[in-house]
Amino acid sequence: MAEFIVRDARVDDCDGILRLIKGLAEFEKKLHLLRTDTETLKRNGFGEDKVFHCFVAEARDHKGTDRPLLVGYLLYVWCFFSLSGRVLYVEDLYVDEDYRRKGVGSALWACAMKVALDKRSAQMQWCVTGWNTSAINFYKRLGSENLGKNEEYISFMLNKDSMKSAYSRISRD
Amino acid sequence: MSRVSIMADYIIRDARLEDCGEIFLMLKELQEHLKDMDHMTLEEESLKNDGFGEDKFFQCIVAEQKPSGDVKPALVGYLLYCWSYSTSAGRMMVVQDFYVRQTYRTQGTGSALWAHATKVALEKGCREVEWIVHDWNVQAIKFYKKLGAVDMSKGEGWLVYRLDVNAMRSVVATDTVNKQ
Repeated sequence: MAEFIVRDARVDDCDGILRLIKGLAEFEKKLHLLRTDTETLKRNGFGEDKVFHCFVAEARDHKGTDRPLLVGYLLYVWCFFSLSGRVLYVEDLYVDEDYRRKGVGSALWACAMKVALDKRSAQMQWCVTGWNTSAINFYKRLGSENLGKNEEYISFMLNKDSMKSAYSRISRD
Repeated sequence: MSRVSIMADYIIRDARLEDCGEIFLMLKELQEHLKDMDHMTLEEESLKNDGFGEDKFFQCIVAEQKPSGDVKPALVGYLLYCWSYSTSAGRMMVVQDFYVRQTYRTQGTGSALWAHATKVALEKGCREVEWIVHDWNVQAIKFYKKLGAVDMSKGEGWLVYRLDVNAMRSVVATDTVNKQ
């Protein structure tokens, strides 16, 4: 059995998500640019006027406190491309160091792909810093297309076919 | 809500479901202009569902001719945007499409659409508006620079532009077309 579960984020996860957001910002050496807090997350992710959606990975059998231990998150928004329509745009993906190489990233990605496919999205897109080789390798293994480099970022894309293919591979594992 | 200008012969307003036919025509005109029609798979139904259905996720503003006699006023431009979120910028507006029909260019129609959008963005607490433009689209780039936008990247093919909160306030303050 996996050491974690993945699920939709809930409003009471915001403290845990914020900790992970800071982890990602530190990893990308952009902690000084962070301007989010629990209130902003609650308002923009769970209020009536929400703009983002989030999946979280929660450690199973976590003992010690009443709060679940969140070990990863994926944050996305919907975009509209007038060539093709609905696109799922992944803003953030991050897994705690202690939970890497256990399939957490793939599981979070599978959640996002499922919702993208269920909503008949034409594509998923995201970008990644050019030096993040482990992330780039992960995206290549998924079957993503490299859309090119802009300054320090590389854009990637999965279309409908590559989403279906990646999703069925990950779900089998 | 409409904002009526005394000087211009158009108004800027929120799009309605019944505008979808005309918006779709303008969308196709834009894709022709961008030489992207070969890659287009979008259908009008998607436009209706994604912009006006229960699960809608984009917003649209249109420029419409002022009414004249019994003739139904035509739409002459549109700006389509989505809300986004980044942990460094907070809520952001991402402009997906911006288009003004040929005969309505250089009349302030584009600026009026942007002023309306920028005002909405500020009201929602956004500190940034972002969009992309083809690097060969000299006319559009000139327009964006005039708005006060800054080129965020110098990649191949696409340029990412951004208006920060000060530039947004400036756009709204200098708007002369939209009036409450």
